[in-house]
Amino acid sequence: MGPIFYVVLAIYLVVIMGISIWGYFQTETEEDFLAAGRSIGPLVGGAVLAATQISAGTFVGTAGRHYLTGTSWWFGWFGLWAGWLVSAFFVAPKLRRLGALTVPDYITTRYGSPVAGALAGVLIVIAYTIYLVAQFQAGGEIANVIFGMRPLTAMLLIVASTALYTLLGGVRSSSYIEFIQTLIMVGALLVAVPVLLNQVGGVNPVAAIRHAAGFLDSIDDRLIGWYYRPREIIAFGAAFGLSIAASPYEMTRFYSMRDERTVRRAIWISIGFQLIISLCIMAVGLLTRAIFPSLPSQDQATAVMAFQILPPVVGALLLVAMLSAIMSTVNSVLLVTGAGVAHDLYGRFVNRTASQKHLVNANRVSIVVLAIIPVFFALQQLGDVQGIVLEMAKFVASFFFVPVVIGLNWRRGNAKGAIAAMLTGFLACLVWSLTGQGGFAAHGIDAVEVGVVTSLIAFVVVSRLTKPSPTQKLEVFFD
Amino acid sequence: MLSRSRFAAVLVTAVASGAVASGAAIGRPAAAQERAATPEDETARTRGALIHIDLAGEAVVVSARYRLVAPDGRIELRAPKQPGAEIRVASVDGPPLELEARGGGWRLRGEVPPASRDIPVVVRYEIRGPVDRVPLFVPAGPMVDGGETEIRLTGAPEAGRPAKAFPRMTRGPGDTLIARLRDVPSIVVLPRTGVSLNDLLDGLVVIVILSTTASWVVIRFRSG
Repeated sequence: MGPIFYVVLAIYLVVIMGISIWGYFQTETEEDFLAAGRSIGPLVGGAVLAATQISAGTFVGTAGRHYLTGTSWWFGWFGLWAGWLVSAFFVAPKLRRLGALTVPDYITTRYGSPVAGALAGVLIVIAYTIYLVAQFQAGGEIANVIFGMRPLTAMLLIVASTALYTLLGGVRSSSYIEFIQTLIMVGALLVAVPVLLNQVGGVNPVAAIRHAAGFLDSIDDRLIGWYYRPREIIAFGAAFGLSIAASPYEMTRFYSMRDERTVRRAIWISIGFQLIISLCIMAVGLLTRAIFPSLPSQDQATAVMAFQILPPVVGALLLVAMLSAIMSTVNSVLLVTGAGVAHDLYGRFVNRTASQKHLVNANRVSIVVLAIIPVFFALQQLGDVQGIVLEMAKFVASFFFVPVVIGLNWRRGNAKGAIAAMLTGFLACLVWSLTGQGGFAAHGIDAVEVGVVTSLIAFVVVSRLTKPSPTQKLEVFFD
Repeated sequence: MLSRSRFAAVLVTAVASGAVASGAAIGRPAAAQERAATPEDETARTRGALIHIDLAGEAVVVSARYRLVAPDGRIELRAPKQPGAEIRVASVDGPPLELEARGGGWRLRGEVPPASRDIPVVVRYEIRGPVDRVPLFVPAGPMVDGGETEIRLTGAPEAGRPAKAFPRMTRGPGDTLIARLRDVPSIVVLPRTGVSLNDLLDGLVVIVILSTTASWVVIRFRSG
């Protein structure tokens, strides 16, 4: 595959750099940088939402979980899609109406409290710094399989290339780049599945599936069945769904779309993309297990499959798509965390009179610094990629679901309640995880459930016990 | 209003402490259900595999030599059944292993005194029936860093192109085709002639990309 892979990679890099440079010359204000001038339509928007959702956690981690545990992990997607629908009907329209640039902007406006907004900014930075760890770790696994490259080298290359195109164009260029990435991912996966089936069992797909299922069943009879119990799948789905309903980096994408109708249509289109990708990813994980039953790490399944099994062009495209998925997510997260520091903390507390140009530069400096921190943690190999993504989803759900989703739909919630909700949700999830009670073996209650319920109780109780927010501040959300 | 240095100190402290705490939470021992699917995978390892497939005779003859590590004393190798094909194990050198059919696969299992040293295992078997895919026995333990699988194929028809086999092969001395890869695959797809599904899909993908790019350029050009 060698030369073909490098040709495909070079063409891809030329294309994204071209778009980035074009984006650079289109970006003059902070709104241009963070929200693409609110110009994105439903098809591109839907693809962008799917590309932001489909990360290394999916291509490397989710395929790895299917490789290791079989089919039952797939049902967790339903929780995630439920989260998207909650977002479409209860979150996105109100956020669009507000016209805020970032989630801390929303928290500040909704609760009339810069402190609540700043706390949201800090929590975003912490959560997504760890989330980047999963992305970099996945990049290291892929580079190790393809190039035999040391993880540190691979991670630094990913940081450099992604930071460059994030710095150049902001959301405008990354939206179009992600549109192309989604097309590549869906296209490469659609081609990969029949190739895998053909390798496993011949041109008759039904016979090939039956053949692969029989072998997988002989390895572990839970692979084509219930490896995870329904109770566990509900918890995984809850973690992903509750976090996506209040997910800061998805919301930033809502802001870049034309209007509320566009956001809703984009979400449905995005779910369509995700349905196709989720089924293909499951097939990739399972069929790779049938061909290579004993890989050293489940996180290598997709890379090994693309490198060893697929025909050269398709394999190279899929590898490029995987690297794209990592860069896409790193890019999205860097935009959010960079904005959290520059816009919500620096611009609000340090330099309130900063010019638009100064804020754009502050965004760029923050992005570089925040891109380097996770590399250190990624080198520590904290867990498998999907495990890290799942844990971060639990944290985001625990501290953001209640103040964002409930706060948008319950008028009585106030600033003190929101601060209490964020802090207690984060701490409850952290303590539950740290004390080793997160596993179902203990008593069947997951950290995300503890975090969200504790956050909700704190929100309701503290809001009820303290003064309500002034009515005029709530008009934009409730009238 | 905070000074810039104080702002930087507060931010770095918050991010670092939050990241460390969350990292500790993530890095805790995995819950039982998130561990490897097969318990023996956690300890068993493969140090190398050398597999010879001979297609010259009436039956396909496979001679597979493995170097295994089994600290818990359990050895297991698995191969997929091929529709219409029969496996007959001719001999096993090394620890005694028992062949059993389980669902859609074959399994060789045995126990040895627990040890961390290499255990050589040589399995010779014949496959009869319509064979375009040769099943291989894959050790339950993954390959160690630096380990290698070498597959040698002899007696393949001259017309078959080695690059169309799985795993991809190159020509060696005489009529030998050779593939080197890290992990042991469960099947070898024999070299084919003519246009394969892989060729078609590769060609189709290139055509789609070129035609999409050309269409986009034409649309942009016409719209000014």
